[in-house]
Amino acid sequence: MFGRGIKNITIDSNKSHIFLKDTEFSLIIIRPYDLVQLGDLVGSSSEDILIWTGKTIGKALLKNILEKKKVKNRKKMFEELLTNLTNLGYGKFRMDYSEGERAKIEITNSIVEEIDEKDDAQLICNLYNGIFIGSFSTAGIDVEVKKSICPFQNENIMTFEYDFISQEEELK
Amino acid sequence: MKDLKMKGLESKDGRVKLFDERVVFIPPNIISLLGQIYGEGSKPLLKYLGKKMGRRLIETWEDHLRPKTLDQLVDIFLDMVSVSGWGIFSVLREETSEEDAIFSKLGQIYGEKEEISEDKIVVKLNYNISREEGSFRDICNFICGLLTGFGEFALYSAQVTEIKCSVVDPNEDSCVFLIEKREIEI
Repeated sequence: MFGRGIKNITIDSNKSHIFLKDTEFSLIIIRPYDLVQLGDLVGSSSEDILIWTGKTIGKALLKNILEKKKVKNRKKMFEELLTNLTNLGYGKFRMDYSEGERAKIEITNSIVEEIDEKDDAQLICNLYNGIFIGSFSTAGIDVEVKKSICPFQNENIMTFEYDFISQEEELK
Repeated sequence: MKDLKMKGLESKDGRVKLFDERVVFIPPNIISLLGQIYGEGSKPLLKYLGKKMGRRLIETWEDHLRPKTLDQLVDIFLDMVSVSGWGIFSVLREETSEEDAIFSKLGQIYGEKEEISEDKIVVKLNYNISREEGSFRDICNFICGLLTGFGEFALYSAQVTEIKCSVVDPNEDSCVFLIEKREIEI
């Protein structure tokens, strides 16, 4: 059963502007295929554009978390990021996080569910990968993608495994 | 500010649906950042992206709701884009003095005798999110495209012109877009 209303998202109904709760981080609503379309513009570079779009989203969300919340450590910070992503409609996330070593993120109910073509599903997976890479980068962690599984028509669970190459001592 | 609750919007386990259609939230500055990437050639590209989005949106909702008149079709589209966080869209009809002024301006541009008809739809956007984001014209270009996608569905072939822009001129309280049927010469 779907619940009415969205957690942690607010609306200024006088202006019809949508925000992440208690922040000035504004949001718009789009459909999964609108995201796929971003990649259509640039043809062979479409992969890059979706990763870049994801990075931008990841960086912005994490920066917002760092500005607004006192997070104790990186693990808590990424958990907060994944909660935000769930609220924003990107699916349900499970993370195994090993400080300074690696992170594994599994996504169920991802927006890939809505995609009919395998190539388009890959573009959406690139977007998710970009979100995570962008947020790791903002947290001062250089990562290498160790493994990625991009599901198509619910045949698998979307999975990303990252090895941490280097990490800044302090949170940015 | 209120928690986001609106008719038709539901959420469960990371799936957000608006009238049973899966949706996702993104920051609008993605549009302006795309504009920066594409540089000088960004205007037609952003319009193209917006057009695809607008067309897909109205096709889906026309299919669900089966409006009988152009007015109903316009209202459905503007309601859907108004709940999406861009600002408040409304169609201008010659009813208020404020709108008279805009129609008078349109008259100056397009000829005094020309009236708004089913060949023309004038759309006002109040509180354009672009103003809050300081993203200048990129979001306006994208919205031009969004309305073009709608216009091409509603009027078969359409062009959209932004005739008033609150982002360029802060004294203006709204952006105004003219959707015109484009005659195709064969």
